[in-house]
Amino acid sequence: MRRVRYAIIVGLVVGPVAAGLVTASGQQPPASPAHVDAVANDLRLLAEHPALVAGVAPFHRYVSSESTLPARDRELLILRTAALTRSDYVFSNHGNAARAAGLSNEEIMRAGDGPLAAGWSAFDAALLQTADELLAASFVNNATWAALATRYTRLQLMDAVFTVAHYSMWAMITNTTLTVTVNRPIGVQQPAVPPRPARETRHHTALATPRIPPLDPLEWTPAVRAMLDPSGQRATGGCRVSRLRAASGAVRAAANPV
Amino acid sequence: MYRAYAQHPGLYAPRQILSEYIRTRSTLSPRVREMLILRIGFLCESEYEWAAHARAGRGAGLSDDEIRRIAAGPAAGWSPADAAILQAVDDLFEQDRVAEATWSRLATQFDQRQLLDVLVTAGGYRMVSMSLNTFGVPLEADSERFPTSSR
Repeated sequence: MRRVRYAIIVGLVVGPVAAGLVTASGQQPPASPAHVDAVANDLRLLAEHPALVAGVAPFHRYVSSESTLPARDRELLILRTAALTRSDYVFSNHGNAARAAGLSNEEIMRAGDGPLAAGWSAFDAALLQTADELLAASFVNNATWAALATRYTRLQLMDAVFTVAHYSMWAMITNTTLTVTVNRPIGVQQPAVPPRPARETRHHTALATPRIPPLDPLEWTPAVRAMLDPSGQRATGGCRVSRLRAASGAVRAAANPV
Repeated sequence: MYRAYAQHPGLYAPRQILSEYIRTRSTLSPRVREMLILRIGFLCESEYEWAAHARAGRGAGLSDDEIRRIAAGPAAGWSPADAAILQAVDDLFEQDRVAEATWSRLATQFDQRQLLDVLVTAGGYRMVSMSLNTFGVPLEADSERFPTSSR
C-alpha cells in the first residue's frame, strides 16, 4: 500500500489559489497575502481527502488569519509552536506572514528560541511560554495565564490557546506526512529545542474554578443557540429568542460527546 | 464544554465543523476513532474528555476491560493492529510525529485517507484536551474518572 508521503519545497510553493478562499461565514478573509498563501499551501497538502479539507479548512483559516489576536502575537505563538514540535514546514511557511506582521528576521529566530531568550517584553515572553506549557503539559499555568490576561480579553485568551493547539495538530500532520525540502525564505536555520521533559514531570492539577465559565443559555447568540439548542428548549422565560434562525453552514446540533 | 466554547461565537462555528468532521464524517470506524480519542485524552490528562469518550467508546463496541487497557497503553495486551493505533498516539504526544515503524504498521490496516484521519483525530483531540484543561471546564455530574490503577 502506498504511503501518504508528500515531497514539497517550502518557500517555492506559493499560491494563486488565494482567490478561491472563503471563510466559514462565506466572506473573503481580511488577511494579508502572506497569510492567504500560507493557508492555501497548507490546504493543498490534503487535497486527496476533500472531506477532510472541508472539515478542517474553516478552523485553519480562523486560527491563521481571522482570530481576535494581533497578527504579531499570532505569529509569535505559531513560530514557537513550530520550534517545539520541530516542524520545519510550519516554521518556514510562516516566515512571510511573520514579517508581514512586523516581526524582524532576528525576532523570528528568537521566537523559535523561546521565552528565555534575551530581549522579549514580559508579555511577549508570556506568549512564548504559553506554547511551551501547552506542548509540555496540555495546560497553561496560573502565572502565564495571568500575564496574558493583563492585555487580553477573554476571547483573545481563548484564541491564544487554540492557536497553539491548532498548530500543534498541524505540525503533527505535516511532520508525519511530509518529506520537506526547505528553501528557507528567511535564510536561517530553525533553532534546536531541547527534548521534552520526562512525562512523569509534566502533570497538571485540574483547576478548581473555571477560567472560562460556561455561558448561561440566556446569553447565547442566535448562531450558537441554533447549534447548541435547535429546538429552543433550554431558552426560558422571555428569552426564547429567534430559535429557528439557522446558523450558516451545515452544522448540526451538538448532542454528541465533546 | 460547549457552553464554555459558546463564550466565543466566532471561534465556536469553525471549531464545531472540525469536531463534527472527526466525530461523524471521517473514514475511521467508531471503534478506532474512540480508541484514538481516549488515548490522547488520557495522555493529556483531560478527565472531561475521558469521561465523555469512555461512554462513546462503549457505544462503539469497546469493553470495560479495553477502555481500562487504553489507559494502560499500547503494551497492555493488544493485537498488533490495535497496538499500532495506540502507539501512533503515543508517538504524536511525545514526538509530534508518528515514527516510521509505527506508520508502517498502520499502513497495513488503513488507506491514505484513513491515515490522515488518524492524525487529525489524535491532533484534534489533543487540541480539545489543551483547551478543556486550560479553560478549567468542570466535569459533568457523575463523570467517570480515570482508571486509578493506570496512573
